[in-house]
Amino acid sequence: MNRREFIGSSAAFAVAPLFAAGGGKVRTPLMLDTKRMAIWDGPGVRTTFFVKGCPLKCIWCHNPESISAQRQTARFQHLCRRCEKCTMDEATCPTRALKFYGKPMKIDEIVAKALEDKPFYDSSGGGVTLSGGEPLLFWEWLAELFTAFKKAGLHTCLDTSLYAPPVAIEAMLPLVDMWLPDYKADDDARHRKYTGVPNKIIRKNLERLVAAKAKLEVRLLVVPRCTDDDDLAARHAYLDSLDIPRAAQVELEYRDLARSKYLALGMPDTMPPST
Amino acid sequence: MGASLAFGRGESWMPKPPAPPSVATLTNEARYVEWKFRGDVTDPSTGLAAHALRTNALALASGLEPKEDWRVVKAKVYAMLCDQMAIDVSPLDWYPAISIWNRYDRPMSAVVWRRNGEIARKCYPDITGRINKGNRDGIWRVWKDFDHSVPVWEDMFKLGFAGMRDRVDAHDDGTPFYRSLRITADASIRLIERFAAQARKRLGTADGKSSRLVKQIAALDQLAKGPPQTAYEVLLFIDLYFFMCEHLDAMQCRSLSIIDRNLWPYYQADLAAGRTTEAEFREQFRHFLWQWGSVDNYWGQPVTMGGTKADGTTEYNPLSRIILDVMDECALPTPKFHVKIGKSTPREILDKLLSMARRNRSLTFIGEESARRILEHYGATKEEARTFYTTGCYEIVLANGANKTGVGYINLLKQVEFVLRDAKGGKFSAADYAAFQAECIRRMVNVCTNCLAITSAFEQHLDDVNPANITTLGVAYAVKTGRDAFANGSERGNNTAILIAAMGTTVDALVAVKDLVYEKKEMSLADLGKLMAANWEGRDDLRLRMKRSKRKWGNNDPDANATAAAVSKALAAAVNGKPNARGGIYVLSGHSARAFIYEGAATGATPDGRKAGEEFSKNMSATMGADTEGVTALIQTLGALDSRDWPGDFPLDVMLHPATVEGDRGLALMRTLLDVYYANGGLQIQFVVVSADELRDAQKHPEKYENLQIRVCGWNVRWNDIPKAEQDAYILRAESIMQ
Repeated sequence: MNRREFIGSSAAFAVAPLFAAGGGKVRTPLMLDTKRMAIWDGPGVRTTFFVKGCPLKCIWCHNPESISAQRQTARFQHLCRRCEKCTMDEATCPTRALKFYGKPMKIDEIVAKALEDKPFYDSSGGGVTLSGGEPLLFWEWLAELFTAFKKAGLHTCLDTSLYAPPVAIEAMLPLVDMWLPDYKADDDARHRKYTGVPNKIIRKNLERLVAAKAKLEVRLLVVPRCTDDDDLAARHAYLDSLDIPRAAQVELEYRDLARSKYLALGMPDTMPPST
Repeated sequence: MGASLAFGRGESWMPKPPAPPSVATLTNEARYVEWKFRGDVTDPSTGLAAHALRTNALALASGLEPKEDWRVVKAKVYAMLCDQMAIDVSPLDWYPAISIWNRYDRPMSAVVWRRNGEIARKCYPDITGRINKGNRDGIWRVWKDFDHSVPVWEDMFKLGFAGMRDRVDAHDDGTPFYRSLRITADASIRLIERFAAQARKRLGTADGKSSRLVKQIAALDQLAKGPPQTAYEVLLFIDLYFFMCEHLDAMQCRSLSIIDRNLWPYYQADLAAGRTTEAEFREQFRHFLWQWGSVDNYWGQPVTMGGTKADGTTEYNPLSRIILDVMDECALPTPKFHVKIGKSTPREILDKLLSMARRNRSLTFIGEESARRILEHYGATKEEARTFYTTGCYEIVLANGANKTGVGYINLLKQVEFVLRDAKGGKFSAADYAAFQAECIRRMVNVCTNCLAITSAFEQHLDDVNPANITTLGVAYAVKTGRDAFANGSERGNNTAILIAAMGTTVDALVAVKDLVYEKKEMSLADLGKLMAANWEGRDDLRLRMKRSKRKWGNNDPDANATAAAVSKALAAAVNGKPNARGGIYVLSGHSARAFIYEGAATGATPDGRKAGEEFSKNMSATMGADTEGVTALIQTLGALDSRDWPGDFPLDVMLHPATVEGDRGLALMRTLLDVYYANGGLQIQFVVVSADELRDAQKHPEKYENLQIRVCGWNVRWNDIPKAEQDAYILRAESIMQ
């Protein structure tokens, strides 16, 4: 199923927000960040690339700069000296109070950057990970990118909410060596409340990955008073029912350490307290 | 020259240590061992305190000097110290005490210091001024080095003091050289006998009830007549020899041997014969380490471990684990352990070492394969390269050519400053970047060449100043050939290291000139020179932009790497393999110890965004905060250079956040960093695992961080022992690391 066929399908309805700004052409994300020597984003030593743009609006999001797909300017208030004349230039802001989020990067640039650390991947069984934002929001571009990664002999991981059309999953299945999906809440109402979207398509995609025997490590963020009660047990029970081993169900501790970014971006701080 | 003598310089920048407690309060072994080299714990009835010995030493040397060969004068002063020094042997400890406890106030240093002035005036009167001018101008920091001798331990363990004396006798032709060695050997043996007698006296006082004293007496008796027979006797021998060298003869003994490999056969035999237990050995080894813990030499005392046997199997053995356990428990900044890492290193040992490094134990990881490549490149046989020793900060040396010197830190960055100063004044211009870089490198090479010439002038006279009698006793080749072991009597030559400071920041500064003047053409070279002279006045925007540029050493940037390779090749050609004045060669060394602070303070603003007086890069590492691409890029960067161009050493410091190295994943990461660093030809690597928050808190609440150690340059220091300016530098470094 290609993009055109998908748009006409019933699955498209569930993920309609994904395509609101897409138009007819392949969407290319702005890149948010590159993190080398990442050891928590899949096996071994990895380079993780973060794309900008996410269809979810998780209230606890610790990368609020990754939600909008547009370029953003942040001004960190606690660092800003309020100079008489602001340089409006990240490179020359004397206190690093200014930060620009989102820059274009061509696929060959990303691959070249990833290859810089190939000796470390080879030594550790590592590779490259795409995170975000939601990389599957740009699944056609992502498929191109991962094809290039595979051509370069790189092990690939995808850190995703799985809130994506099934066609995206199908497209990526042969290209992703390990999936790192989140499962944020088992209860659909709760999922909608905290992330802004239902979890039906996420569960469906997860089940598809299991059926395809994809290698998985499911992340379960534990947010106090939001998802730390019976929902956590329900999430484990659901994953158990899919025969996903407990070792591949990884609970992540939540920390409310991104408040300054909300403020800097002029976004309402929605983070629940971590204690 | 006098003020720059290595053994006399003292560590004046360090905060004053607390006053020692009264000896009467040192009633348990931990307290006793901790303080035995921080105050005089000896029995005054046995002899003189250090200050009286100093007076006697100077008087004796003055009286003898007009009529005796200087080597014999020094031997006689040494003998006087052995005979007259107050001593003790305590039931609280496994090793004897001496009244010459303070390494910064040794009677022999006073004698040698005075002699040094005389020799300088007589033999190289024009040199001292040149050295001092370079020191003052921040071009270099040059000194006369007596710091890097490594005994041929294996030979000495076979011979003992008596055997070494017999070896002297076998070659003695009646010349002052052999007479001085005989005097030194005899005096050393008499000192051991004095220790044994004192131990017997103490045993009497203890009603014969101290098993430590009983065993010490037996061991001292054995060492007075022959070689060590047990693991404890080997430890005692090392201890005695070290203090005879450093505290009595004013010659550093910069190794405690390849300790696990050397002790293992003795320890196995001891266990088989029921002479000792593991628990007893652990205690003896704990006390052994504590001798140097108590001395607390800022520069650390090197111990080598591990290696690979000729058959390719590991030298690490069950005793290695015990030794590492004890080292880990003691958590001392010194001795510092240089651990050889190769394909044969057992995974369990490697993980233990990395796990200890996560707790900031004093460890440097030395790549065996890279060491082999470097040593063989300079003529070592496969066997010599396999059995290398480590010394000094973490340098690699051949076992039979280990008496090297390190004579000065060359400040590369200063030459960039000078070229820009000339450009400002219209005395220099360059049509393109290649011409600019070539001029900077030409001047760096000139400084190295000048440094070699000056060094050769004063290194001819090392043994005229400080003949290394006790060091020579331990080197068969020196005894056989009648040469001073430290000056020129090592079988494989006595090399001299020229240490390069500011490599990383120099590369950054050169690339910044390329960027600003020749690529973006934002200003002329002359205008850049003016801006540097004005310390970036009025252009903080530009300074910040240059400071934050990613085109820096440490980010695996192609331009920076190519520039570094050009500098490295030029320096290597100017230094490596050039004959020195001591039968060896000059070697390039990449560690800058504290020079990154004090030479930085003497260097003007540079185009990489650095302001005048700020510190520059340390060792082969990146400028503080410049390696924004992270540790993997930093390690890849080092691969841009050929480590064979840096036979002295090629050290990389890697600062890691504690969160990065947590758990099994963290351990696996550290293994990977080692693997890739060594695969790229890297030689020495040391980890500092600390967060900026922790350091800030430690600065604020020193009382909570008594045990916090930070890695300087192949050695650890206690956080609370370094001045605030250096603490600030480490905090800035920690702020720039990525989690």
